[in-house]
Amino acid sequence: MKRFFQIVGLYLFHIFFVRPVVLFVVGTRYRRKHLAPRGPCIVVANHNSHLDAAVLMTLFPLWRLHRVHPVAAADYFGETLFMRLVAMTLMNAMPIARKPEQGQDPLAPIAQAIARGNSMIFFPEGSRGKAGVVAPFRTGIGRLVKDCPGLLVLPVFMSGPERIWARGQTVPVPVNIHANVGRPRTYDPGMEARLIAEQVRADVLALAPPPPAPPGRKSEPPLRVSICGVVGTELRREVFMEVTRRLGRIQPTIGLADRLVLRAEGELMQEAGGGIPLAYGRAWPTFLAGLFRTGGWFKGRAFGDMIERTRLSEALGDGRSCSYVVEEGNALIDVLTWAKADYYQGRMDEKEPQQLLRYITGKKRIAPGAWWGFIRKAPEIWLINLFHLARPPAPDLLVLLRQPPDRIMEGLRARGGELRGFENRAFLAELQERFGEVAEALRGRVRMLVLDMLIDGQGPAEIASRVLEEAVSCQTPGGPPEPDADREMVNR
Amino acid sequence: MGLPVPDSIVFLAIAVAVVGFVSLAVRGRGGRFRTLPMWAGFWIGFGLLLMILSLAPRWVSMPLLAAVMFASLRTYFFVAPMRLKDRYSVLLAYAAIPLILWPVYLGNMELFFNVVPVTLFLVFPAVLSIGYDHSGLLDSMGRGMLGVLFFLYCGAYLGLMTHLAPGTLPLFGILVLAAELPQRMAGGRRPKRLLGRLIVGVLVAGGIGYLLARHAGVGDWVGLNANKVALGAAFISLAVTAAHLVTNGIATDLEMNAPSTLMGRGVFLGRIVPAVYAAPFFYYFLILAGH
Repeated sequence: MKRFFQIVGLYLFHIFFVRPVVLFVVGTRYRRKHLAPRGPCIVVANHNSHLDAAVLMTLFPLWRLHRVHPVAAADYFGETLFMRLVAMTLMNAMPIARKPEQGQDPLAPIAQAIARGNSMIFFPEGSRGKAGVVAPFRTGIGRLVKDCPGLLVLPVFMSGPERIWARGQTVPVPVNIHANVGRPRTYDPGMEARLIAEQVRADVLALAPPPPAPPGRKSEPPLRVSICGVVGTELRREVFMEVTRRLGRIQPTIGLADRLVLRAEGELMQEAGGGIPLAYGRAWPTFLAGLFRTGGWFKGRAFGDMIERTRLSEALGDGRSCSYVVEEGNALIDVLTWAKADYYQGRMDEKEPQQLLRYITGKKRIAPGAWWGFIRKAPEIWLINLFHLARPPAPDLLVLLRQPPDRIMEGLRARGGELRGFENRAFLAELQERFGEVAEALRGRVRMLVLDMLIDGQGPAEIASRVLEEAVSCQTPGGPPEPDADREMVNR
Repeated sequence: MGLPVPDSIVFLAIAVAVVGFVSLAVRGRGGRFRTLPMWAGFWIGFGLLLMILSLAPRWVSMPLLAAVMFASLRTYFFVAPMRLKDRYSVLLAYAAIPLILWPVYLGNMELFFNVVPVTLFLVFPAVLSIGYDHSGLLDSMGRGMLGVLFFLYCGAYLGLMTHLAPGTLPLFGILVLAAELPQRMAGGRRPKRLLGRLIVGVLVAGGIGYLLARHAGVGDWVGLNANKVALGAAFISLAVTAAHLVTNGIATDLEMNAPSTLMGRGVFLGRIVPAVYAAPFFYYFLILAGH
């Protein structure tokens, strides 16, 4: 009966006070709220204000509120009757002892609650700390992950609460809150608790927005390295990872592949959620791709992924987030090559690649008279052009990986599953040839260096070394050797 | 027109619809045209605000205006943050909303012109200067003062216009749209092209204003002839250009270009600032025109 009244109080408090305050008074805006898992999880976030728990509780639908517990310090929130009422009853908090007695495991009730299917909100910093500073995470989160193998951890970074109601302030001052939600993930329970805590902290920090701009100085645009070509998918991904990792050691680097955004800085490489100032979204392009039946490399979801990747790449153009952008594939090159190999089948006149380039980059509209031809044979170009889905930037360094078609076919067969219609020796050889032609045609229009590599037994590390050499030489004052022929097309 | 709402409201709705249609039609050209539909979307909301201010009793419309001022100011302080120690001046800015809207509600211009300088221009800097650490004071003061100027001082003029003829606010909305649409379509806010843009903007807006007054009789709502409406539109066009100049300067300083704008909040400011910035200009013009 007591629990029943507690739940009623909790819901009334949230419906009439917490949610209106969070949504209307401080105007919280979420990014990727949909990533909050439907099952039990532990939400981990930076902590600067008493508002934090309230904001994180709004990530969950109302009907799940009674199963969401912010973890609260028993010594602080159990101090007075009023604090106990607000924290433990109205906010559904679960108290833990920050300084447990000998032999007592303060995390045991949390582990039990998770085992019962509840979700927790956890602030591993332990206290609100200094405004705007993310203190080192305590090992509690690591021990919790070890105690509950397979536990989903949802990282969230909040900006704003530190300005609203920081530690030591008595009166809250409304300013907007921005809650950036990361992808839920699990951690290896075999790792040391300290290492898990460090990893979780890195995941939370990866969601932080770009640093504020210093007055009077503009950032340099990043160097864009695109790894393209027809080779086994695994090899291309391995090269992409290796190049991202190695460039990250030199300067902050962001790697963009399908459904994978990596941030590499120093020795650390991890999935990035923040620092890229653009909302994600692939539903609309995927829907269009299904409706207009894009095919081949751009079939359905693959097209949506490509558009999302391109938009992210566009957003990184201001150079505030990183110094290098590494892409696995480049929409401009891939779409042009595919069109050349499939739509035109090599029968392009001199002007056509330029036309296509203008269509894809949005410099020119496809005339209505040509729509039907494009819808039938190259719907991806038509969709990009008509709906302005993206404006794919050209790379500064294009890495073209080639492999003998037989080797590619071997790789595809080894992948297992059925081969798709276009995965045959003749077409792949054709595609490979067209890649070279497109690169050559583009070189006359944009400032771009092409690194054409025939892979014959080299490993990803070896290829990455070569790419690194070229990328670094691109950034030296001499820059890429080609002068930019068409300023309009330059992606800077 | 025989509709249950005044003609001015219908015309404002039509103007917003036309702008929306034009924005959608040219959106495909990319570049600056790509953001036009979102701007038109903002104007659906802003147009509704103008309609409510124009139609509803002041005890309904003033709290709504206060809420809009509060939300805009809150967003502004998120995008252009002040020092952490300046939180009480932010609070003062919020507290100044009812103080400023009270004389607006009463229509007491004398009180308004005393409350604004005292509250915003004298007390606000003083609150900012409290304490010992003054590093970054001027920067913070500039940010804070700009926020209160845009959203409290300029926004209050929307409220003041409710005391004028019922068609004033819809006319203001229509003329701002007439001034902004050509400017947004023309683009080119670089210093070199500013003068050309300014001249063309003023001429186009004046021309649209003249045509609207001549053929649709929009000037009759506030008792202005076609020439005066054209002059008013040109005046608003000047204000809109100035607002764009200011917002561009702020956006450049904060490195907020279109794709990197934090969660789209800066974009919101870029849309609302020109609209509220033009309000005092229009009010001043109406006084000059002998309204």
